[in-house]
Amino acid sequence: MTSLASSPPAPEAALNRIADALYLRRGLLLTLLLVPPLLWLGVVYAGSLFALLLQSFFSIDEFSGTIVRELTLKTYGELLAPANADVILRTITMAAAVTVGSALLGFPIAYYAARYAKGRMKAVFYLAVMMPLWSSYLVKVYAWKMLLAREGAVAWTAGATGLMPVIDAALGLPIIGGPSLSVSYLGQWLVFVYLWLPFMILPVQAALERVPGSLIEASADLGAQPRQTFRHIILPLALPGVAAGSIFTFSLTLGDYILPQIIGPSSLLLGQAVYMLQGTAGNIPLAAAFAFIPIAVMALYLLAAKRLGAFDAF
Amino acid sequence: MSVHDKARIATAQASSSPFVPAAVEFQGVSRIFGTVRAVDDINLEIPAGEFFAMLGPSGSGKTTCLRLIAGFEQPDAGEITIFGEPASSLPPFRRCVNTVFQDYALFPHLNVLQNVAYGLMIGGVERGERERRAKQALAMVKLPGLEARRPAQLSGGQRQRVALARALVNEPKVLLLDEPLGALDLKLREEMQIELKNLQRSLGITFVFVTHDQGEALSMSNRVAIFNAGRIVQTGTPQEIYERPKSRFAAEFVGGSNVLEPAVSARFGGPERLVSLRPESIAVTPAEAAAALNLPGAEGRCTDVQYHGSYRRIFVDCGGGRLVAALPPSSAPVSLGETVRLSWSPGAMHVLESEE
Repeated sequence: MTSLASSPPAPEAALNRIADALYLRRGLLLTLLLVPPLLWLGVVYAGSLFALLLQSFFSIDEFSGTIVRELTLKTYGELLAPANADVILRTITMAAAVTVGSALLGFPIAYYAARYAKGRMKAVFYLAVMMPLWSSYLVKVYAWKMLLAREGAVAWTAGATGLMPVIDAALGLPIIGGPSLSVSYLGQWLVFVYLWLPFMILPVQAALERVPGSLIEASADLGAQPRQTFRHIILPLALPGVAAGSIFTFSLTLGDYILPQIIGPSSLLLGQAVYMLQGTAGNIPLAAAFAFIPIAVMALYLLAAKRLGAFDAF
Repeated sequence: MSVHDKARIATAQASSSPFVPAAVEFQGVSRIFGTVRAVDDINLEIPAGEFFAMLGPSGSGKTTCLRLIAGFEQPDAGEITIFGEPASSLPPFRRCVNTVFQDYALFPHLNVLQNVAYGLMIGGVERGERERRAKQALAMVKLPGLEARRPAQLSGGQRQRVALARALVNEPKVLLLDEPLGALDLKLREEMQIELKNLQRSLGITFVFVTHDQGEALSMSNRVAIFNAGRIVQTGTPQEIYERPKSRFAAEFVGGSNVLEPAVSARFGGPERLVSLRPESIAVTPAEAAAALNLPGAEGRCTDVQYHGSYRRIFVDCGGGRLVAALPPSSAPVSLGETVRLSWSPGAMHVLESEE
């Protein structure tokens, strides 16, 4: 038999044979590539999630404080107690407000980056959006506490420019106001939006980048004014990106337990409740039941987004 | 009266009477991108009801001209009028023109009916009425029954028809077509050429058609403008453009031609001027016959033969220059390396005014 290829030295020949085999049997390559991540996802991730959820169906013995390993819905019932339901409602409201704020602030930036920024400006955009992610989360939160404090930079700047009445008016509002920005829901919302904004901007920008410029021209050509083009063409096509971004901003807010300890009023958010229940209180079942809430909320949220056609565009 | 004659009369009327404004008029229009003069001091008049082709190689400024008419670009100098109204400061959504885009630009999140009805929806036409008119437009472009499909579920030819219906449903005064047939295969392209031509005739709308395909421009339009480097090198009926090109560029770009330098032309029995000689006007003749009829001609060795089905191209090295002749299938075969005598009638040698 004559070989089509010239024969290389032995070690190279072995490598070549592996390359040939992998090329010809795509399934083999795919299996080799997928086994490690699937093990990770399946065993470590889904497994621990399952273990956690299982805990939520146990209950705690009120006298001894020990966990009763019998399946029951009693713990979920406890979630409905006014104090716990309050935590859930407050957290979902905050997450929704943060998501809306991020979308409103992030969309114009993403739109500019996708449609107008070219070359160097695009690099500057990525740098500016990603830069906050380079520094420590904790440092950023404490920095914001300093900025928002009664004697902080924000108040000082407002005083110097005569804008203090605006801040005072905002802090005078019921519920979201408070003695200072750093201990009010307003300040808490502000810092949440600051933290999660990049997670909204990037997917929206990616979605907008896939919208060809000719669609916007075609819309104008067919008589649509810019606001009509935005309403009928740009927004529907960017919606998958907004949905993806809101998954980040919503779920990150639902689970955060450090920021609300440092900024905002003393009332708990969901993440803090879980943190305290599994730590100082030692009530693992209730902590697990609480942890189930974000999963359920996100599932419902995605279902609603799908119903509304957020993923229809492509 | 031929279509060409009608077009010429229309042109004459449009330019002589101030009461019948041209559909589109360019007066000294320039558009500059950085250092590139994409459109360079163009004057142009497109009479109402004409099928007007803008023909040129890529980067010659024809698409920019179309975008200037549509309003996607604003001129840096000069004035554009559409039916007598200055249009230079009007945004696209205030112009009575519609565009069929090269990539069709169909809205991916809307179905065929919604795509076609988009302009009517924006214009505030109520739902039942706009759906009725959208269906009518779809029937006009011979695409019924696909109203509920998404653009992604259509073939290239179907998308093209949707794009056409979407533009026509708004009853524009001028329809702009940006290389609309470029992405279609040959058979479909020929079919669409005929349909577009018929549509234009029956609707009476002014069509401005951008193409780099000279065959398309010649076969479909009443008049053609040839673009090169941001300027119009010649405007005329297809016949004028083909038979009486003004420049080397026009002669070579449209139909392909042998362009003879003055000295070569003189040596081949023509005037001592730059001359265009179409390949199909050259015949291979026995030397004695040509001499007897006193025809201009040349003798040379055949260096290449290309088979094209309906004709054959032979390349002949005639010492002073290479000539290309297109021979009908019925002509005697010529083989590589053979010495042949080429001849043509004196009228076939058309004097060119300039290089560009």
